[in-house]
Amino acid sequence: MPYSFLTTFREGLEAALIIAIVLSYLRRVGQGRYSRSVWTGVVLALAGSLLVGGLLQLLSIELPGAAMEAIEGTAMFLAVGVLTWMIFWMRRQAATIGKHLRDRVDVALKAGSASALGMLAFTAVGREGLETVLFLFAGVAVSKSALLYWLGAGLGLMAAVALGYLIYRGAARLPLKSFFTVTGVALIVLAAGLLTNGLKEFHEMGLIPSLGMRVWDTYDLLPDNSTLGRTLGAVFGYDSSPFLGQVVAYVGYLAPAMMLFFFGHGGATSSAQSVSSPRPKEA
Amino acid sequence: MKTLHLVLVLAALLLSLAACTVGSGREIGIVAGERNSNPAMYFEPKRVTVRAGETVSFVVRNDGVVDHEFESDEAGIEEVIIPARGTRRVAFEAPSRPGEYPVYCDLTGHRDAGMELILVVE
Repeated sequence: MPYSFLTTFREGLEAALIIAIVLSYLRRVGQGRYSRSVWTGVVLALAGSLLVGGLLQLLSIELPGAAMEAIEGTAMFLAVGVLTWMIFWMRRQAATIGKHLRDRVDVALKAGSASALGMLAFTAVGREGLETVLFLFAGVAVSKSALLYWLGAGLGLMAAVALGYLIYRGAARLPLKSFFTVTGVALIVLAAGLLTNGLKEFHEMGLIPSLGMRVWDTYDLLPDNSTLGRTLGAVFGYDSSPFLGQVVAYVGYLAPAMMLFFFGHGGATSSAQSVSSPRPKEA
Repeated sequence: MKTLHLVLVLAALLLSLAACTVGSGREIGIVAGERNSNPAMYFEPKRVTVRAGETVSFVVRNDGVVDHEFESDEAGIEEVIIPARGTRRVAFEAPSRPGEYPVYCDLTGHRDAGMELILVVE
């Protein structure tokens, strides 16, 4: 049971964080109607993972490691793309808030935004969804009690969703200025982690022949196959012995993204004054 | 007060995650690597025997010059990367059902090149 609990909790956590931040953001900017696109992405990813996983299990087809890595790596890069768009779209909106509307944030989403948000939710949930389903199906065959096993898996998923909900509620209480800053930074860190994990997946399947040397080894300090290490890996891209290419990509994404977010034209710092207007009504 | 509760819950959660250690029980040494003869890649020994439900620690040493993985969906061992010249410890609770389970390296071409051992559960 602890095994299935930890598996679903860890894999669900990152998706729950992303979904919570996106839903919270949509609500704060008065675009709650786009939540439907997000939920559609979530449901499709969950249903797709269960359907494909179930079919493969029924037909006893083993998905080669390279196929799994291709699916995960592609989903990660897609998520990084949409997250980056989302972060800078949020930043632009933050810069104009308060200029035209004194007491309510109401920004227009451009055509295509709904499908992009749906895609983000789909990739966030589907990224590890299929692998988790396959791993759980394989594991139940050797578990002591199938009932306890599935109970653990359900509880793990619920714990991840509960944590996401707490973040959603907590974010709703933040003053708007802090909300934009905290969620923007959180999304940048999550995207940087996804980028480095995506590189690793593509390297493992041989699509990227080399990522250079391994630059350090903190395995003895925090093993990446421990529960905490795996959780940090899923959420922040932690790797106890990363390749140089991963570190360069992480810093190369994180540093300019943070600089642009805080100091770019209309960034979080310059928009601080404009968003300090009266707290918006919740949509 | 609610924030304090939330922080305490999160701290407890993190501590419980950290408390899950990566190694306990009997140690079983495994060596991974490559060689010029056939098969070109290997895990040694080729068969490992454990008791049903036994908790063991695999200490996997990679003597090769490329990275390898150690995993088994069938036996419930999550993927662990063993860097070239590196050693990784893998905690494992054996399945409750006796049988033979494959443990392998799932990097492209490695399993086909011979990187598989049989875990015998008695």
